[in-house]
Amino acid sequence: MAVTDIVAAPAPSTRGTKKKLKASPVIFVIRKVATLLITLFFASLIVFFSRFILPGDPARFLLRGRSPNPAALAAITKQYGLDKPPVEQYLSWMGGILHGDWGRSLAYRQDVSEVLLARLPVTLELVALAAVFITVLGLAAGILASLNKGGWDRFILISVTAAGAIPPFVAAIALTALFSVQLGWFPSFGSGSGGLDRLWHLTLPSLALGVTYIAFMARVTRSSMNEQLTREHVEVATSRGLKPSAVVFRHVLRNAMAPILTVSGVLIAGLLVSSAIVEQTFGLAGIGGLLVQSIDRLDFSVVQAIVMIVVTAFVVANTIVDLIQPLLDPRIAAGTESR
Amino acid sequence: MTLTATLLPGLSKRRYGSMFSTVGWAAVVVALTVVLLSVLAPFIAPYDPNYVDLENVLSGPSLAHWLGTDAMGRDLLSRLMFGGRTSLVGPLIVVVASTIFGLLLGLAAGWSDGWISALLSRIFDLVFAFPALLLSMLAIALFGKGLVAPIIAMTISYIPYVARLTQQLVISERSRPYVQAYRVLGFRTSWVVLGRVLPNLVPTVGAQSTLNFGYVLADLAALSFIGLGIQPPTSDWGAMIEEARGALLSGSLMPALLPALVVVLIVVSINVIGEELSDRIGGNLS
Repeated sequence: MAVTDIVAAPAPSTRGTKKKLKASPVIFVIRKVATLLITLFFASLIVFFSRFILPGDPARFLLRGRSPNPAALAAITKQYGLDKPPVEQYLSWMGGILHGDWGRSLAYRQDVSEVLLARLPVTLELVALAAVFITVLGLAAGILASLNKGGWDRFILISVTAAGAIPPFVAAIALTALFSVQLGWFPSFGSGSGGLDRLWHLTLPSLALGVTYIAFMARVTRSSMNEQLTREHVEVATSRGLKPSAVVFRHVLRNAMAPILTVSGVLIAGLLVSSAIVEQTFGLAGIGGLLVQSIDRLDFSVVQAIVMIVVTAFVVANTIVDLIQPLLDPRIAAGTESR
Repeated sequence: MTLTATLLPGLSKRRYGSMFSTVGWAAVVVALTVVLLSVLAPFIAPYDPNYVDLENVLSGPSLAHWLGTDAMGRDLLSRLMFGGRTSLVGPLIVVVASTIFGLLLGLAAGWSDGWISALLSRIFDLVFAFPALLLSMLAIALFGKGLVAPIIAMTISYIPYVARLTQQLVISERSRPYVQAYRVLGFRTSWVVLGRVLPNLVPTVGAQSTLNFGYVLADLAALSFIGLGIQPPTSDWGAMIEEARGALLSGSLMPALLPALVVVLIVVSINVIGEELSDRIGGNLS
């Protein structure tokens, strides 16, 4: 997905709130949550009924790559209720998901929920560590560039622009080549055994995952800080004799956060999706790597479950961003166009 | 203002009458070189990209092999040139198809009020909920590995981006005097929209679509890299990096880093071209 286009591409749930919104926060929240649920409902229809656009016997599709003997076909027909009408199949699938029964994995011969739960921690840790890198490195680079005009600014901007064009899988290869093969500082494979070892194993993957967004964060921070620095309230704060650090953190950065927050929903989704590639590259046992392996092993129920999880995470994150934004910028809640 | 203008103010000034700045021209040269080398690969590549020479494995750059060989002794330069053919065709199809469909749907959404516009907007929102790479993986899970499924999925994912932009442009175009003049004169709506409004939008939308090329290329290469796209031994930049990982871990960096470098180079230069095009065209419109 185009990182720089993110600002232009609205979140899936923001529409419909622009015109009619009055100042009632309750209605605002209800609207947002309703939009969220509707989007998720339609997304689940797409994920579930995607299988139905394929011609032929659905039992044979689900058993691709395995011996389709009559007993197995009968078993899978019974398990998925394939002989029932599609709507009934969907309702039982959806009902199962809501009750924590995600179906059975053909490749692992386990419940999908068990397979997923075992792998979720690694992905969450990976994404969290990447988020830390993005926040710390991106903000630091952006603030440094904005406060030091001239050489530093130019240098940071050029390196950040170059880094922004590096896809995660290329970053993974480059980081492995440098820090793992040449310098031998970090491992190139596996997710380690918890604690510090896990952190050590996840450092390169999370950097590879985050590099595009670190660059993006640095650029957004820089430009939005530059804009804020020229504002009157900053001049007033400076002339009142506040320490520069206080001015930057309390008066500049706080207002500069709004555009960063706007994109953070899309950012989280991007991290989750790209984690598939990074986990597969570094051999991490997370759900991203599981998605790739499940496609490889023709394990469709796991694929459906993971796609649904990522879409849900994306839509929920965007809704949360929409809900938080009025708290930072009351003009949005008041229903006036602020930009 | 383009990013290159911020970075390299001296080199990014477009001289009067020139299409691109110096940086822009450099990007054009890089992109054209890569495209030409790929298109002409069957005629100018020094070796068969799949010719295995086990006597000459992982050799460095030499007169015989300008960029060296990979773990199976295949000539890297030839593989890069042939790899460009598969790696560039996919994004090209996605960008062209998503631009055409996006333009048409955006026109429909922008011109009509009422339920067509509302329905299309909802559908765009829904597609936005599926990141392009994720939709591609779902498509591969359904239709099997290769490029066809992800190309269709990526096209669907990028249509709303084009359509949204078109929709906004159409809405502002609708109120312009020339459109209203045509309507007053009684020309058919379809003729005004397709014959007069559409041509005005194509440059702006096309320039934006150019920017999508790099992202699609990176995503498709990533799919080949994780083994879901182009299958070896067909050479593709993403698949080449994947095949070279073993050699990378044992210390031979070139076979993996060269295709990686080409991917970054082409993405950067296409982005620079796209930015300068949209800057130039956007400037003309406003």
